[in-house]
Amino acid sequence: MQLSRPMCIAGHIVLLAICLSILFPMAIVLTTAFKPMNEIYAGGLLPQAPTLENFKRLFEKTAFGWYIWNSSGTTFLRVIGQLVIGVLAAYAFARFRFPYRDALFGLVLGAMMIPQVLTMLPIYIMMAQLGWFDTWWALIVPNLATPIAVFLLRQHMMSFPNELIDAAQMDGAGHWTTLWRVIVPNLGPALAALTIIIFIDSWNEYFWPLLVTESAQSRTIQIGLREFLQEDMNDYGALMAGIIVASLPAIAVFLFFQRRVMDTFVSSGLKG
Amino acid sequence: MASISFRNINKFYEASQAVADFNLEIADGEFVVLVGPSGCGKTTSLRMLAGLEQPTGGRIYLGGQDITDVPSKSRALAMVFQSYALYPHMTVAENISFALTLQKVPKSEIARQVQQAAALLGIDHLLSRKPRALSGGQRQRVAVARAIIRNPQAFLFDEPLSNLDAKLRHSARVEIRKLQQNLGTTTVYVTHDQIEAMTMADRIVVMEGGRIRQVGTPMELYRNPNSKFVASFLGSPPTNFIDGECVHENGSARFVAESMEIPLNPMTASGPVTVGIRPEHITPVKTASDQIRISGGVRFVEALGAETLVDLDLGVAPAASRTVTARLAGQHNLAAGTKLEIGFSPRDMMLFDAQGNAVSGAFC
Repeated sequence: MQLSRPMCIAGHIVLLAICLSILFPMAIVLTTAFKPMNEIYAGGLLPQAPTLENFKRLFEKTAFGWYIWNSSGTTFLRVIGQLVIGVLAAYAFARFRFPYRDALFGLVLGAMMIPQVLTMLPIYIMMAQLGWFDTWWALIVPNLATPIAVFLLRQHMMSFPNELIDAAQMDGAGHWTTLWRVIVPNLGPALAALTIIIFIDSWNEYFWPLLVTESAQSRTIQIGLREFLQEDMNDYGALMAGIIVASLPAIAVFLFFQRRVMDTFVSSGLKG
Repeated sequence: MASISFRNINKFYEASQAVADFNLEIADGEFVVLVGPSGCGKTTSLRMLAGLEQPTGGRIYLGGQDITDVPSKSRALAMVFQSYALYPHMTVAENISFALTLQKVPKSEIARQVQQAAALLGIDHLLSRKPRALSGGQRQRVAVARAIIRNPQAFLFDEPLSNLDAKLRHSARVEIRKLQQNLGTTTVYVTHDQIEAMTMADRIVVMEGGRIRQVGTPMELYRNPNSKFVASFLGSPPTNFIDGECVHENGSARFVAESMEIPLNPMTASGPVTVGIRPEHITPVKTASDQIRISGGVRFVEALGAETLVDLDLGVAPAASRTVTARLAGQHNLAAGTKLEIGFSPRDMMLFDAQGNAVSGAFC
């Protein structure tokens, strides 16, 4: 259907407004990060005298190096853990017949529906009892498996051609070899999409690290950024610089895996 | 290389029985084709031999060893699948060598064997390609090479030619047969294509409804089918059937279908029967005195060059079997509606009782 010209113009105006509302805050973050202190409240979008002072202060005034290390390390291990456990659980649910399989899978799906805030307190107590408070263990272990990975990978494995699995068996492969050498290499797009979802979810997590970390040496970036918001004075320049540094890995991961994710969406569209 | 033995094999999927009382002895080096319509249990039987399905009852032996409970990876069998089932992420060389890689065969030995198998099938120039860059025929060859390299006790083929075009199918048929004869490996081949069955098999196993209907050499099955089903399944175009009655009178017996009458052996039991005659056994009447003559109106002509298929309306048989197809040698210029006198010899005819079982010696 062809839109009339006035409708078309109106549509473009609405889309432009939406784009600006998304881009404008990002532009403020970007420009503020390069503004000297005295320009931040002065108005004007672009910095008059661009500076890297904010980035310097970011690392001088806080343990930002530790935050980056903690965020990177825990996120990396969480992504690996969630993918590996997701692949193993999905294979079991997709390929094995065992008693109560469907009921168990229902439980996994059910876990996806439970709000995180409900499980936070019991897990918090558990972490305290295990003595994992303020360690990487508390950041990683409760988040080592995710129902969404099990669910998504199971769907992909169920639609995986049976003949390929049969061929692998005839070639002498057991379940373990079939899974890792035949199935997983062909799940690239699904794994890439999952990696992005899990990475961003883990990297941006705020509330759980806030609860279980205390010392600067175990804090993550998202918690560290808060240090620039103090009662006496908010250091917006360093905060914005921190936001840029915190965003870069997520953008890099997205760009790296983007192509393969797009493949997933394209093929899932065709198959659907 | 080894003999294969199916003993009292049954397979149930919940309530439905896919294979019933399957008993078959396959000799060492034999090429056996399981043939039948879709859902007849042929692929299920092959998969049970491969270890990809577990029989509900019965035992399977390979070279005298009971392999019923042996996992497929330990059975020393190689299988070529209908879809070829090549691993999409591996090159042709990696596909062919996957089994040897898993067996931890030294790399140099793998390379030598891959080269040998690829050369045998004429795909040695494709070794670095991925399966998606291959044509259907090339993929099929890779799948066969992957089976050969394992030097198995037996080859299992599950409709390996069904995705190829007619021309390629013919050449692949010949190549697979030659290859099997050269290697001398016991082969079980599943197809629904009776031409493949007839041209490739040492012995054919015709299956229907999960049961074996008949086992024999292609010519035994062609000449002496034990049932209407086997007679109809083997041969192209299919056998013509004319329904009628066996009538006894004055000590002699006749097949009667409206005005058509054919003398029968007096020992033939009375009742409804069916006469079967293959299209290639119908000839235009010229001389032969012992021929049964019948005239019909030409309905449809398919000129194939070397032969002509003519659909004739006999006008004598009950409506359901009124049309017969004749396969006449050479070219015949026949217009629809033309009257044609045809004949067939009693020795080429088959008689089936009401249950579809062959009645032997029915024609004098």
